[in-house]
Amino acid sequence: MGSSGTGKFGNYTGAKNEENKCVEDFYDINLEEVAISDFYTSLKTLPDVGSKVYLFEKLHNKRLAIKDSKKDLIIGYLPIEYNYLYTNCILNKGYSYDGQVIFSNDLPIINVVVELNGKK
Amino acid sequence: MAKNKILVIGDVYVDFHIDKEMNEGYLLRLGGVFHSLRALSTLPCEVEVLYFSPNYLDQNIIKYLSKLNIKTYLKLGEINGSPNVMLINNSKEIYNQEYQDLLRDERTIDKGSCFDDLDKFLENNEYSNILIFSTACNVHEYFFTHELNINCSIYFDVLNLKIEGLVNSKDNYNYFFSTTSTINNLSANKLLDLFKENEIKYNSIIFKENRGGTLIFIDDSIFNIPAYIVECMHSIGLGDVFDAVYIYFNNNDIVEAGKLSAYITMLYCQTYDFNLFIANVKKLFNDKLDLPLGIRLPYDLRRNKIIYLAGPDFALNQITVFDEIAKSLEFHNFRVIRPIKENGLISDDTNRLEITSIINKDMDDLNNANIMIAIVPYDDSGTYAEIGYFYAMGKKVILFDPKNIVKNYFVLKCVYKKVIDINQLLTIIFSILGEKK
Repeated sequence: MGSSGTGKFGNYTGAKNEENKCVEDFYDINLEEVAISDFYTSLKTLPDVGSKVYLFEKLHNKRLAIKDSKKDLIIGYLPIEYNYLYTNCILNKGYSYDGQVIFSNDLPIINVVVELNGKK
Repeated sequence: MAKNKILVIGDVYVDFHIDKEMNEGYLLRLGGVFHSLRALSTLPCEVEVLYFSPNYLDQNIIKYLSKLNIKTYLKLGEINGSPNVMLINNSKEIYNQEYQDLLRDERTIDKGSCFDDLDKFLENNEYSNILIFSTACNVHEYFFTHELNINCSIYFDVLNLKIEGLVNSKDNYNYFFSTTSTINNLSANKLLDLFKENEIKYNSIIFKENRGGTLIFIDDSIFNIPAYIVECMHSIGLGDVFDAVYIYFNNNDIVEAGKLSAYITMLYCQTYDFNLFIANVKKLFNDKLDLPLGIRLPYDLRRNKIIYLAGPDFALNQITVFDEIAKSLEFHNFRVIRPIKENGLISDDTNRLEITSIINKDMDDLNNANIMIAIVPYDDSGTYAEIGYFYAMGKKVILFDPKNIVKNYFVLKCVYKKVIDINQLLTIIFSILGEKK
């Protein structure tokens, strides 16, 4: 219960502001735990730049996982600061996220970077 | 003992958010005990409340208690001289929330007659748990000085700790503290030392460390509870929500109770919209959702985390964004390095020896730092050089660039994350530096 303005108590929604966080574009997301995720461990290779990916809508090992769209294997996990997508956007508002690999390299360390777009 | 029949005792306030960041203008809503009551109203339990308030709030209190489906409530006393309005100038707790309790020093309490019969009230109503907030009336003293014939768990949320006020504590009492509720921002270990030195009895101490998680001490056991990191909409009443939910869930599995409390607290901080909060809590249980990974970054340990502020940090006689960011990070107990302020500024007049000394010190600081925040009020080649150097060491750079100054793609490639305000910055800092749990 809150209020806009100061005239009385009421219910503040702020819905417009919260919605924006779901639709912003996500660039340059360095995935975590790529080296121990299914894609690399089973195929012994990394996804190509340009490969289509999507955000798996359920938690996997308590994390938000990015899967390769063709092989449906987990490439890696989103950093923890993206956890808000789970409650706010995926569960509450029915958003889904897909995108592509924009960088993929195994030297000097295994590194995969993706970009994602949200849609309902 | 009734299962999950919870009594909450405290003051009712009006929270008046005067932050400039509010999108729909200023916000006011009922605070004080109402934060806990909102949280408990989403859980299947019976909730009753004893409260103190000024009389102008009576009708609204009854109205909103009804909306929360709280049927049993009693006003313990009347607050006079103060409107019980809390002006809040920093809703997101970027640094100290700067609560201004209007006319606090004018406050007087008329204890109602109910207060005299509090022990009979408590004995006649079988509660599973009682949660007592620090009130203007010092209700906790009542529990310390009376022999009560009640069989339930009693929890105190202590604000502005005065250790001498707890000397009559009993060994079945439980205490909630937070890093901001103690004098001089005590750490958990120092708090425990104080308890031991003063022989204060307790059953458990729950020490909330804001965005860094929670420590729970029971007997000789210590439990670490993660925080669930999101970019919060606000940070008001979060401790109270945590208290209430923890009490509800705390039967046998302390860690599970702590995690659920932390998660539901995170849901509360994400919105001012109460209906959305209810929906999120319901979804958690109806859909049997797994909890995500959280982080744990104890208050003590943050001092070991060195944050290097890169950028043209040399404005004189004015508060700059560097000051604001440093203030925020230091409030959360991080070690902040401001190289220009600490090592010196190189100018055309600086001699060679001094230049070498300053640069060497800067390099040492860069090598020792865990993370860099690069603040770019304008294009600055020195800052960009530091970004590149830090990135090449395999460490993370956070770019603070609300004005979208940085356009060079190579520089942007060296940046882990760009943020536009301090709240976002804190979210990323805790996410990166915290231990995943």
